[in-house]
Amino acid sequence: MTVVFLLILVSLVVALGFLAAFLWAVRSGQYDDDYTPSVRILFDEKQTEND
Amino acid sequence: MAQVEKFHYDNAIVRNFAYATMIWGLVGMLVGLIIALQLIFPQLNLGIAEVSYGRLRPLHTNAVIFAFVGNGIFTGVYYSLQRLLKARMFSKVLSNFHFWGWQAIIVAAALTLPLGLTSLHEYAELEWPIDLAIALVWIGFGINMFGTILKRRENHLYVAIWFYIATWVTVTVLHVGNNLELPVSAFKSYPVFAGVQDALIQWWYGHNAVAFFLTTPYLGLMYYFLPKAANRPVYSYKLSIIHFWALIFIYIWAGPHHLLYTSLPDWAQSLGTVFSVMLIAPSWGGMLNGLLTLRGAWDRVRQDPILKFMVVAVTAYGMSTFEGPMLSLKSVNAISHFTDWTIGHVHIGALGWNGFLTFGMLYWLIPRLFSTKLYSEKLANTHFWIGTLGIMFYAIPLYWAGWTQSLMWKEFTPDGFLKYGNFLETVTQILPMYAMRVVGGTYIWPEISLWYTIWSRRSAPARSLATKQPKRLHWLARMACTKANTGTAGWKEGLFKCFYLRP
Amino acid sequence: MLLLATIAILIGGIIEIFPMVMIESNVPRIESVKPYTPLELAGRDMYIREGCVGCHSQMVRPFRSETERYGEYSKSGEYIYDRPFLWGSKRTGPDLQRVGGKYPDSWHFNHMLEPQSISPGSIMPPYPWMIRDELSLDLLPKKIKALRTLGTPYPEGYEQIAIADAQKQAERVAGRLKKDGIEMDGLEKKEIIAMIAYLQRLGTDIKPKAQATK
Repeated sequence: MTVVFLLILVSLVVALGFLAAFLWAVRSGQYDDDYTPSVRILFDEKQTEND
Repeated sequence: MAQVEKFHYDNAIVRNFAYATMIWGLVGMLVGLIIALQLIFPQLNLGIAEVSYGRLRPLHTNAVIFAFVGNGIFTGVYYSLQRLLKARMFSKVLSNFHFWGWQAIIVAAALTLPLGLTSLHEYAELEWPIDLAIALVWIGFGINMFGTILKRRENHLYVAIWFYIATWVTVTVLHVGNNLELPVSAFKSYPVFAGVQDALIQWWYGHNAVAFFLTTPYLGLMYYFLPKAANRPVYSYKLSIIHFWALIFIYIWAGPHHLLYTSLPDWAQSLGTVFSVMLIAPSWGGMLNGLLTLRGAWDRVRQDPILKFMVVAVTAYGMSTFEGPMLSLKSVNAISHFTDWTIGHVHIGALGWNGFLTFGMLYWLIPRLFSTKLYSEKLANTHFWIGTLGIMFYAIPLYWAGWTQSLMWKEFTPDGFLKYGNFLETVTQILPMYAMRVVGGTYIWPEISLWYTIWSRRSAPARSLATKQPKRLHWLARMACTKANTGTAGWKEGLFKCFYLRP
Repeated sequence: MLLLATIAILIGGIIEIFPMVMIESNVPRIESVKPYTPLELAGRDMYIREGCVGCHSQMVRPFRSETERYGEYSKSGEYIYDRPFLWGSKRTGPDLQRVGGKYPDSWHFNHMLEPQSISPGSIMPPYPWMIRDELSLDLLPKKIKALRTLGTPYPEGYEQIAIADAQKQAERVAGRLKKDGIEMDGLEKKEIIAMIAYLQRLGTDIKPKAQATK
């Protein structure tokens, strides 16, 4: 069952990658503000042009 | 000297993906209807190999997953990503490459699958040359997305973007992993792994394809389009962040639950079950977050077809993410596996969650893309109700069929013999349910109303645009403009005004 | 994130090389399980082409209700030459893992031509083209070579006699069909012959006496 270990390895690397992304997000202050982003997305500037 | 920076969002690409979603949605579901009919009338393959059930079934699943839902994802991603990042897409060339490449792949699938060219792994049936093309287009999409993220004008990455990123990264790994094949000829290959190992890698893929192609991107869309449609922020942004990270870390381990009681080692089966059960928490957190966004706005849900579509979609998400872990319990799986219960389950997800969120999104999006109002709320409402009935008529008979058949398979006489020793008896018993399921095909037809809505809607902006004189006008808008002007001035005049005078 | 993605793709590349090194994995071997003959392989690829797996599983679960209906439950060692695996995920028709030897060849012939003539009320579609069309064996040498590369123990040089081998086996199957009264011009060259050969092989490897070695 080599493939089991391969899959676990691959899945672990993906998971560790996401862990790194998570740590980056927390450290770089992405989540310092956990309210206003949800409100800001509601404001779009008016549509300028359809091309 | 401060200067206001000017940039434009690329709406043309969004529009293209929206059209593709609607076209392939119709095609994929029609093929589904055909094979549903073939299950009651086997002669419907007319003795023609290319339209027989075994070859059309993968066409149906691929068309619905990758063509309908796939284009739906891209529609939503290209629209929301630009706005969330306050930036135009990184590269117009890549956007177009992505769009046309993806459509070409779908056409290739629609040609090769009926010809019986298949590598058979479920939802990864396409043969190796097409697999390579998918990888290429997918990487193009990735560069385009990450390029846009890098040049963003908004520092914060809204939770939806994280869902898109997770989708891209994981689907890349899955696609490569499950398509490791040794080519024999241009359209035949053998997988590198055999037997049990092949099975494990397939269901690692199969499960995560549902997770990262049908779920995470749509959760991203939910977190963008639901608040937009309701015009209120998501119930708890904090919860949405937890939802994302918890889901990502748990999802990828649950694959073996597709292989319970098979020849896969027991510990791997148990691992799959444990993680599947854990998945309930983030999934339901996400569902509640979506539904609670509408707190205090339920009176609007009653009126607004868009919100109605989204509420049912999110509810369907909750239902299937509860049912999923239940199906991965060994005792339940012993009954459900190999039966129509599974088919019912996936259609609650596909028709309810993916389908209805797509429709809700499109009804919200299209008026904005054409700067107009929804043509007819009544039509959209009709679509909603017929669609909902369609889901009911599809799912309930199949649950019933699944339970009935499974119990018949397992029933013994007091003397210890199988009560239904002839398999066929268990099939003829559920044929009425198969017939009722076909009635669920009504789900498909109101999609036409979406087309009508688009067509009619296009005439509205055309009328107003005719006076505003914008620089360029989409050809479809010109045609609609012609239609609008024909009423007052006759069709020649209309054509002249809309095409020659460049309104 | 781009970096992450690159890593992910690199890992995909590593998996590609791994199995060559580690093909002798710890899936329990069963001595009596042998690779498919060229004709059976051709039949198996036809089974794949027609998407039979959409309705028929090849996985007998260890329940009394299943062993009673189909026979001995499935062992992982039985599948080591299955590329791809054909366990399936839905039983619209019965499991086929132990169908080999259950019916005579002529039963399969008539059943593929018109399932309802054998099982009234069946919802299996007819497959007349398998009886009409001639079987193409051209790819067989390449297939044998590819499978050997992946670890199936076909002897060196076997690809050169694979086609002749397949034709010999086809004649045997056609002979049995003739004995049952199925007359047809060029019967031994039709696709159905390979399909029957494959179906009759299914699950028979461990039928006499299963002997786990490792």
